[in-house]
Amino acid sequence: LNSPAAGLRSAEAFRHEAFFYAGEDEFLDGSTAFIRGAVEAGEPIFVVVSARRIDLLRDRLASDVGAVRFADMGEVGTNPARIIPAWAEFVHECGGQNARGIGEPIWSERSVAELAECQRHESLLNVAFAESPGFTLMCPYDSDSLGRDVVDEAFRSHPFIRRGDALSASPEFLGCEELGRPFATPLPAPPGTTTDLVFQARSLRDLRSLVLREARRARLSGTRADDVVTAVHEVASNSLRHAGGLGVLRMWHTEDSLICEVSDDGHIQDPLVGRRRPAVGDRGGRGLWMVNQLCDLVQVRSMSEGTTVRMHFRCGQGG
Amino acid sequence: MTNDALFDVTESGHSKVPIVNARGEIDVSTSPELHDVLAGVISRRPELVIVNLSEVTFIDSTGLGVLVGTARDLRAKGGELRLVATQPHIIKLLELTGLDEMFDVLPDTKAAVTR
Repeated sequence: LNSPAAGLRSAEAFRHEAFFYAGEDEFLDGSTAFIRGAVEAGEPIFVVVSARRIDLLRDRLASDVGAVRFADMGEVGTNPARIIPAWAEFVHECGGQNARGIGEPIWSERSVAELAECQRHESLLNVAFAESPGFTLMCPYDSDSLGRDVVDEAFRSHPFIRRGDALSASPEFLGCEELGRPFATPLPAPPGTTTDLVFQARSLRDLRSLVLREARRARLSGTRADDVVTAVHEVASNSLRHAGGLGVLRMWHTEDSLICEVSDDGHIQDPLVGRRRPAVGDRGGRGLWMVNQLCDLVQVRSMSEGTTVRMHFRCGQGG
Repeated sequence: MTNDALFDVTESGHSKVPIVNARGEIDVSTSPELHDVLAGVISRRPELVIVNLSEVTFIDSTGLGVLVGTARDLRAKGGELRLVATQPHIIKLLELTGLDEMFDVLPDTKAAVTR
């Protein structure tokens, strides 16, 4: 098990910090100090927060702003499964030199489903960068607007806690082994009315037709409907390849989204599946990567009974 | 209905620059057929192979894997594979997977031959 105390001593390990602040001024004070620290040390710094906060930080940083790379978390992290690849690319570009980041994936307007996936993402960061010494990532949490349960979970998913200038080890940190286990927390039950299909290898084409019809019923644009068909097909193909050659598709509509869920009796062992950009020359390994790029949110749950992948597609947006 | 109605692949062009024209849906069940045709073409060691996807309506990760594998095998023999793609969705998938860096993607076969 990973010991936070051991981590504190080792400046070489990945340092994943939760930074608790109350209100925007504290956010700006803490983030500006963190960024200036990186700039003074000559270390690359990448800041992924909301567009509004990027603007505020730019104003604060004045002449230091040139050394900072920014990205809008609202774009990078709509689907939180796309955030780890963005950090991985940054760390890779830094080529082994020390590097720092600020990433704020969680804010109070996140839906329940998004919050669950953001928390999963925070856990998986520890696994993804366990072998990335010299990378420090600070994750701001607004204790004013976020619930107590969200703060508690941050203590479990971060080995370090920052309040003001003080950095300490989190006594609640669960460690990489625990955090990398399959995500088994059950998803909320679907509503009473769903469109269902039991599929096998020969019925993938029927599955695609059914998904296209459902996407059109949800009034998704032509190109967005193509995305839905591709994503559901990829997950269903995975069921056929890795599970017992049989799967179940269920689809339903919520107020703002089309939900497509594929279940099978297989197990997903790799916690980072779909979160590593496939190398250009690789023959395989693209399926779940594509799914994460095409969906607004993907929820993967793997337990003893089997695996469920729930894909969310927001309606009423262009594509 | 057999797969033949959903997918077919033919060869045109000439021996130096063979063009493989795929039509319909390339998925888990039809990509082996595409693979076999491409394997036959590259066994003749052409310098350039063009895979025309302009009449492909669907391609999945298995189909993309066949294109990657073929390009690698061809490259090992000193040849090059170029793609013709016009469907926005297929172009988007090539971009999402970074394969637009591996292949030249062109709007028609003429451009692919003469580029």
